[in-house]
Amino acid sequence: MRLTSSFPFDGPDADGRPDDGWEAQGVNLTGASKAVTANATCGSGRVRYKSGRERVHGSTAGGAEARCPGSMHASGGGISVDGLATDHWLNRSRPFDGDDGNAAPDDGWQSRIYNDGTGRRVVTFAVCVNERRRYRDNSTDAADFVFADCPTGSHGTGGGLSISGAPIEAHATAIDPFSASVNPPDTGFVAGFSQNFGPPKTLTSFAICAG
Amino acid sequence: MGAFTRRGVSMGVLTMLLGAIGPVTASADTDLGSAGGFTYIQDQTTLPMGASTASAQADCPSGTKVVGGGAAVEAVPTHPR
Repeated sequence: MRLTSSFPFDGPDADGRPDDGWEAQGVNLTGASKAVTANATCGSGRVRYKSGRERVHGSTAGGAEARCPGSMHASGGGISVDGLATDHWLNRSRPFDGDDGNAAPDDGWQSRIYNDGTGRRVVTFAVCVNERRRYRDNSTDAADFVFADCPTGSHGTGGGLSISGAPIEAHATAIDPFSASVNPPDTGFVAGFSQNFGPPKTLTSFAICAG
Repeated sequence: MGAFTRRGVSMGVLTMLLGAIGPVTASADTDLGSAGGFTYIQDQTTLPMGASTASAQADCPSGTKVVGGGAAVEAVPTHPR
């Protein structure tokens, strides 16, 4: 099972902005039926959607970066990849800290894939808001899943994932909001991965929290 | 079985395999509830066995816009709290 894209999409309205929901794409290479799940966190207020594009050649790793405008903060983000989905996989989709002088990863979004096919176009999206968010991360080198919890009383809006090591060696399976008790799933985000080969990996989950 | 027949069988298997690759229609969205001014919407689509691809789209309610999201192709474990 591989997660191949996870991104905000533009619906049939005429505004041309990817503000209408969240899309997930996956590949099932197993002998059993599975499911692909998309989760959208929907709100109001001023939101800007920034994107960055890069070409990733065959049999290489690569990605793209999208930066939020100066005074805005990342509330979420994702990555879309064109072409045959069986030939690539996500290895990173996470918020990053730019050169704004603070240590919060609020400045935009970074992504990385491994492309086992022909050339691919990678589009990274940053969903940016005026309000400050709180950023939490949690890592493990001993499990296929790791939870990043939002502070008590806050609500998860976006999530990310990063896997250490060479991108050819591991792929993402989940960047999913969760609930510690009952819905809605606003407690934080859980990241999942599966290793293809190579030395053990460190999996990091990122949760972006409001309130 | 001759080489030509074996090749025919192999092509048949490949054709069936490639036939399984393609978009699968998403099901209806589920409203998982609201908190803190946010509404959480989920959509899930079956990924058939074999080399299949599928997409799911969770649509925000009218009058709202997406501020983040996530995705999964594996069932995630319960939070260890």
